[in-house]
Amino acid sequence: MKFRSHTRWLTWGISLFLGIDLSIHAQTNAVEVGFQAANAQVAAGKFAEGKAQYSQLPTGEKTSVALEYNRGVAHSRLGEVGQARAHWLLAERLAPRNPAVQNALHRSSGPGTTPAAEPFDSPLSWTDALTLNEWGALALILTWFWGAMLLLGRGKPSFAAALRGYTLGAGLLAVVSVGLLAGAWARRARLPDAIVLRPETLVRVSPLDEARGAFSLAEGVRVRSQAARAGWFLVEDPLTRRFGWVKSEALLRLPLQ
Amino acid sequence: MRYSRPNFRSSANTLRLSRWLLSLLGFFLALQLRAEPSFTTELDRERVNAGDTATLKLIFTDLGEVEAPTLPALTNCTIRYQGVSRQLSIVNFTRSSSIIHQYSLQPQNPGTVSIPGLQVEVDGKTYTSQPLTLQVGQGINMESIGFLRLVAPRSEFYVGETFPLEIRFYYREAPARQAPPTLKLDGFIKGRQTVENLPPETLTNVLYSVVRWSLALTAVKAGELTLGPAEFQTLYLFNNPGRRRARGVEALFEPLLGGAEQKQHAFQSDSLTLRVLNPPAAGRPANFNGAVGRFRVEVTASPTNVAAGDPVTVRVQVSGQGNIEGLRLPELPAGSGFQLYPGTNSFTEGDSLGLSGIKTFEAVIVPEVPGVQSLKWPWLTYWDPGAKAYAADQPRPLVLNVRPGANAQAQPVGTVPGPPEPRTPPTSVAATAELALLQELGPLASLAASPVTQPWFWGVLGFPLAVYAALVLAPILRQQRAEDPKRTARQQARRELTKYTNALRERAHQGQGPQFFAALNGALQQQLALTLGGPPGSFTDDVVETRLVPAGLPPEAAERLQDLFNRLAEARFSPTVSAGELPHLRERAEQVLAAVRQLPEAT
Repeated sequence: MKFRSHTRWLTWGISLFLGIDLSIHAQTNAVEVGFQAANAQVAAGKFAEGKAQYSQLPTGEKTSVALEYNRGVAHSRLGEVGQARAHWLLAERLAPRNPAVQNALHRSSGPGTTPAAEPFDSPLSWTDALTLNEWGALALILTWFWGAMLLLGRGKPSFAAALRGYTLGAGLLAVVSVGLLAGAWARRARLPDAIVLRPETLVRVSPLDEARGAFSLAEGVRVRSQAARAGWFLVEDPLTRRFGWVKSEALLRLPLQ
Repeated sequence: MRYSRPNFRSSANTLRLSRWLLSLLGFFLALQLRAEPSFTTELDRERVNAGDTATLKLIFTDLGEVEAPTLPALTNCTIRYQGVSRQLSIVNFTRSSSIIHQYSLQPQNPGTVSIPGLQVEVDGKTYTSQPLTLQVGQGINMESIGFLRLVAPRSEFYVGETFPLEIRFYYREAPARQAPPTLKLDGFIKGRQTVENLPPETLTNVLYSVVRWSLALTAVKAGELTLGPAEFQTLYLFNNPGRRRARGVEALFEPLLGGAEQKQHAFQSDSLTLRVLNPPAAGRPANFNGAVGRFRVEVTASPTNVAAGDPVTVRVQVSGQGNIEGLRLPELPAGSGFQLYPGTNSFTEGDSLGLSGIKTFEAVIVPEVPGVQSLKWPWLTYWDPGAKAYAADQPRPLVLNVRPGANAQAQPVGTVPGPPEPRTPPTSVAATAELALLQELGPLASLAASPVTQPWFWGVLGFPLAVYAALVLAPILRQQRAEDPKRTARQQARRELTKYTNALRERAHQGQGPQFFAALNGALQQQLALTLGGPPGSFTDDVVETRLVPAGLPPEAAERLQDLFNRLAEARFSPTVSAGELPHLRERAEQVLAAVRQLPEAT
């Protein structure tokens, strides 16, 4: 009896796993098919149709580097600079070393796009080569490795002397990696976190439709933002330090990745 | 018969009038009395410094009109006739009339100048003056007090180049008054000027204070040009012990001048010869308009997405060093597709002389042709005197997306921008036209914020180190506890006190009298053990007067503590309480515990 009960549970488990796996596979397959169809539309010069098809892919809250990159291309062909750059920046968040994404961002930040394109260099700019997740994983591995060495030396004092050099080296690497993780995080937190999607977006002095316009932001400009009121963002232009309110649909906030 | 009273008033007036007439008569008689004719000489001072002047007066009294005599040559002294004056005086009813001829004496070297007795013959009679002596001191060498210098950064400049020139005044003694220095300029234009005190300098073992005037000069013609000399007018006051005390009107002003001798002196610098060249004709760019220095140009425009015919505000910023304030906005070339309407310009100086800074031109351009327009602002060419070469700086081209004018509607300020309309891609986007699509979808990933931003990540990161720290620290803490039993006992007492205090609140809330008094007793004993030392349970109300009050417990708190001890004693025999007494007791107990806690703990 006991054996039969176990077999039943096992059967149920395998069926559930297969069901979930098949469902995921089917969903991924649908995304893949839709993605290729959208690519074909864009390749055929039907940029608006391709753009719409990309946005309707059933990816849930997930996305991919290629999807964001291609969406950016479709928007750029339609002259929507801000939208294009926004998608490329999202792709860059996922894959900062992807040459296609870098190339697209570089070309889109040419003369005339923004008053001064990407003036956000700092001594820690090179940390942008890795995502925050990658920096976090590196710091986690090195810190746990160091902790393991310390615990090993504590548990087996005979190993402690032999492992001293390795422990010191691992400790140094762990401290450096955690420091770089903190630095990369601090740098990203200070960077403008939103991008203007519409040309000549009017920035108002208060979050009201009737409010007076203070200044305007060019399309594709990156700004610092704060969601302080429903439907409105409080934004600051990092170049001029002017601030005001912008309607939420004119802005895309980038995740801290 | 009529009696008439004598008129005494009339007699007194007659007497007063007689006296007045007699005085007037005496005065006119006195005018007829003349003093004895005489000839005297007088110096206004007995001692002068070499180079200074003294005044010699020849006074002819009641000798009539006497011509100015020629003085004999005096050794080591220059004599100049200054003029004649007349003087009439009446002393003791004696009238005298004097003619005074004045001469200035200027001794050249220290020593003594002897003025012999002078003889004049008037109406056949010879008059002789007394001899005089003038002591001549060392004097003041103004060159040793200070000097003026002109300092230029180089000896060779270019026409149109702006450079700083310094006039430095080195001095050992500050003048009482001064006028700003003047400078002879030929071929230069003077700009801004500043003055400042510099730290003292030692030159040839002498410490000089230094004041510096800085001027911005711009060379305007070529050639060997002479700059200077600079002249600095000063007024010095010197104490002169040999000066004769002032008389007459001069004496009125002596207190104001302090009895000091005034000396006006103009310090003069040497001239500088500067070579001013024209920028060479060879290799001169066609659009060179005389800018000399080193410059950078930046151009920005707003808005960049407009309809044809709409105005675009352009900001041209020229920064750098040189004659930047005099720069002009370059003209747009014909056929550029834009109309230029010059606007305002401003200059923000980078230094006090305006030799560097930022000149900002604001102009309006109107695009005439729809489409993506690239506006290349003309090169700013200039002669770089440092590199001795022509250089140019051209800002990045402005790219404007110009929509057809027929559809264009100026967006009024204060309206919400409408939904995006189909747009002409700007060149930056056109540059991305050849971007190829990626064909591989790749793995799907979440774009949520990184786990690094979550607190749990840092907990996981530090977990092995926390375990290691616990393993290392635990034995150390255990050992510390073993080595310091008093400290352990205090920690134990604190824990117990917290436990009893919490129990007080609970029992008071639940109205459990016996348990409340047990907790109250426990809390008091633990707090007293912490404050006074010793085992809990050993303290009675005696400690209030004998130990707590001398330790500084306030009388009110001491009284309440005594009451609590009394209530505890009663509760041993009668633990029942009335409704509402327990919360009141708890509140008082907490106040007393807080007061005892303020006292220093036993060590």
